[in-house]
Amino acid sequence: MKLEFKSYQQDLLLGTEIGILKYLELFNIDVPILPYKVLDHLSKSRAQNFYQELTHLNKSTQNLEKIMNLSKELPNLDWVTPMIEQKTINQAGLLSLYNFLKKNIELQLIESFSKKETPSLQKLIDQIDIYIDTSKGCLKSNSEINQVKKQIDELESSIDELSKRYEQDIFKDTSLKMIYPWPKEISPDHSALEKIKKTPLLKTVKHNDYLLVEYIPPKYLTEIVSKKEKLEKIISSYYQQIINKLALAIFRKQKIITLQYEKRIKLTYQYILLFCMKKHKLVLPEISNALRFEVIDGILPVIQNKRENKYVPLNISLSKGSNVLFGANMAGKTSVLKTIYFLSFLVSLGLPVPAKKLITSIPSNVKIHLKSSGAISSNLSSFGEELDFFSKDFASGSVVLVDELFQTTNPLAGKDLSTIFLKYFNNKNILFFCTTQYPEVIKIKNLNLYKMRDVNQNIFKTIKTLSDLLNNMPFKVEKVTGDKTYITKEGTMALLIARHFIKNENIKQSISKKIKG
Amino acid sequence: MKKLHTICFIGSDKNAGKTTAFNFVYAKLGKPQINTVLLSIGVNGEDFDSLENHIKPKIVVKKDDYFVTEQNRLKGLDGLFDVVKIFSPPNFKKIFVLSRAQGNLPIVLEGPNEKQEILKIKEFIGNYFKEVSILLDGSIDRQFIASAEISDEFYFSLLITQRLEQIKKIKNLIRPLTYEVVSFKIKSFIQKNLNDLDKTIIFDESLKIIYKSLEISFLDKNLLPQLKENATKKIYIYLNGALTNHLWEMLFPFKNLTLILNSFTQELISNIPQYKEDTIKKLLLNKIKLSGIFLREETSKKSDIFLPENVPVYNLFREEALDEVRI
Repeated sequence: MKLEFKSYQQDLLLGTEIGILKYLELFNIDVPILPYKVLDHLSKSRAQNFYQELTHLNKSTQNLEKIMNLSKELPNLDWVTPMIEQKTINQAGLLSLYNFLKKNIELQLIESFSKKETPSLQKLIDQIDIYIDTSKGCLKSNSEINQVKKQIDELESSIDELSKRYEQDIFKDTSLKMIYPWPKEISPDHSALEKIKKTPLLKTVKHNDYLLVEYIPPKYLTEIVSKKEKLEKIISSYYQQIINKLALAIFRKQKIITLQYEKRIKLTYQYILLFCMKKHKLVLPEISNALRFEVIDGILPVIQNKRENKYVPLNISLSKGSNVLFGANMAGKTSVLKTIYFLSFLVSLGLPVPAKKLITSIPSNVKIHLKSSGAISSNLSSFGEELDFFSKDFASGSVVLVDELFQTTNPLAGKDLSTIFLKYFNNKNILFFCTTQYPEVIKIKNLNLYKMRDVNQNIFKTIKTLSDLLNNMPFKVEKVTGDKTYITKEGTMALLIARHFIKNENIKQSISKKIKG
Repeated sequence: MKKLHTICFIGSDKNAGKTTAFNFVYAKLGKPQINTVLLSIGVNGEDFDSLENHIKPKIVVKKDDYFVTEQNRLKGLDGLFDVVKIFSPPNFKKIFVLSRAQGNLPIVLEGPNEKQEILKIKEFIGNYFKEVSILLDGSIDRQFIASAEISDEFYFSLLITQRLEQIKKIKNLIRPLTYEVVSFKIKSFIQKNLNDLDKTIIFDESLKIIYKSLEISFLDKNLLPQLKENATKKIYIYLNGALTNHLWEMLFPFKNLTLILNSFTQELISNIPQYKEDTIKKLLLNKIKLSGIFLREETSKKSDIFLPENVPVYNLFREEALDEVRI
């Protein structure tokens, strides 16, 4: 199974950068019954039902590995179903259908929830069993037909002998060596041409610069060939009768077959999700009716793969309204946004997520705006792009994530715009989460504030490179409660980092003076 | 012979007599001890030849032999074969069925068009049979047929006419047979550094990669600057795609260049004025095992096509070669 998007609402690069496309590859399993699955954003009620079913299936399934192995053997019937409908099923389609019905019953016996009463399909299997030998993949024949087959074999030997006789007769008549039924070309001045023209055994047809010598098979050969063809017709008609009989029987069960097939496809998809969930240590989200997002050890695989054992999973709890994240440069704010976007996006598609636990509402929409230097394609500046992002109202239940809110304009306007938007979103039924460098926004009432944990200042004694700094970053989010004023001193960390890495002594001294105050 | 041996048939053009050659070699096999599977790239063995308005030879699968064809091609033949395996999506674009003929069975072969699909079928066949020969009705348009993963041995069918276009096609097919094969060292180097999608690799004598590109070589805008920059050095260029007129015009002024073609099916150069065969050295990545050439001569006039020595040449329509079928 290959998972694909029906539509990717954000741009494809974002999907690649955040690793959604790569994540979907985790679910690639070669299962013929479900070659592709096109994903789309699920509505709230569909997603809720889907996760509920998945959770229930997860609890009630004991032999997932065995079920997966059996599911891999389920044949694809997409090409067979039109034949069933038109009563034109062929031998290959019949075998595929038979295998499906058998495997489906085998699976139903393992599934505790499956109803064991499909007697009508068992009857159909029994009926097919009469006529096909599944071990050989062929239609069975009776003694009469076997006798006819034997006769055909004998006739073929005779035809071979008579073909040789025909070749000899040609040679006698024309002194031309021919191997029946292969045609031959001769030049117009060929010595045997006159004889060829006279013999009733051959004819010539002009072919470019040459003459093509073709056969007029004699009666002794055509008679035996026609006898063989008659016998072949008997066989064909015998098998056709069987096929027609079965096609009719199958047609009568079309509805129940289609129902079982669709049900099995749906179940196979769910099993694949559960199987891969266990294989890759993912979890199913717990769905909350209230707008919220609470994750324990949430993972963004693209960053985890880069940082390996230094990767710090995300722990955060967000609720309805405006949520704001402060933090020093390089502290991992953008990664927090990307992780939330990634996890929310997966939830909107109905997939398991990489986390220890995720409690979330089903987002009606997931939107993210990351820092950019503008877009040439849309002829917009970075500010223009940000305004474009906010130009339409977000649907109720949306998760909206913005990196460096209104950092794209001058700080005075940026601060004012941030305050206006945060106040507005705080009263809307959306989950708005942004990072910002404007400490003034803490004055907004009932704002949920978060901050990236600061790096231990002692590390500046030991670190040499920016990479060392990154390796010592805690990458942890803390909820800001009580005294919020220290957020206003946020700039100190940036000054400390700058002082440590800038070589110019004069600038270093000036930064030190600024830090001291 | 390998456990799984593939004999591939290629025609220089439509009506070059490829199916006749296929049937001839198949008939010559007689009743071998090992299993035989007939496979085709795309459709082959069709009844009606619309171009020449006559019936083309069909392929008749011999009793107990195996064949792969698209499921619709089995219409009306139910009961006359055993189904061994059904190949379906996502690995296949259509439904292909591997079957065993219960008796002699006239059949239109229709196989997949993509390399990966053929490889998947070969993988199954290799696992299913202890020892097996595949007769592959190939298509010159699909360059992958020349890869070692697909074919072990070849038969060419050449349409000899007076039409320049057809003569050009034959020359392009025959010319690479005279090229030497790269040294083992260079071959290992290319295989080690080649990804499936790579189209061009330029490297120097010390086997240092100078340039590597996924762009189709004749559309690659960075190729010429790279060649110019390294014009004074002795360098190799490996091509995994068509050697077209445009590309040849770009390459041939660089006298220090050695051109390595992935396969013999890549040369698509027509008779352009600048074309000189010996301007730069050309090598092949893999050795070709050409077991026979079949001619379909539409003209009695002599042509300037030089066929390779030491390869049996047949004209099944004129000579006594068919005698071998009766042996």
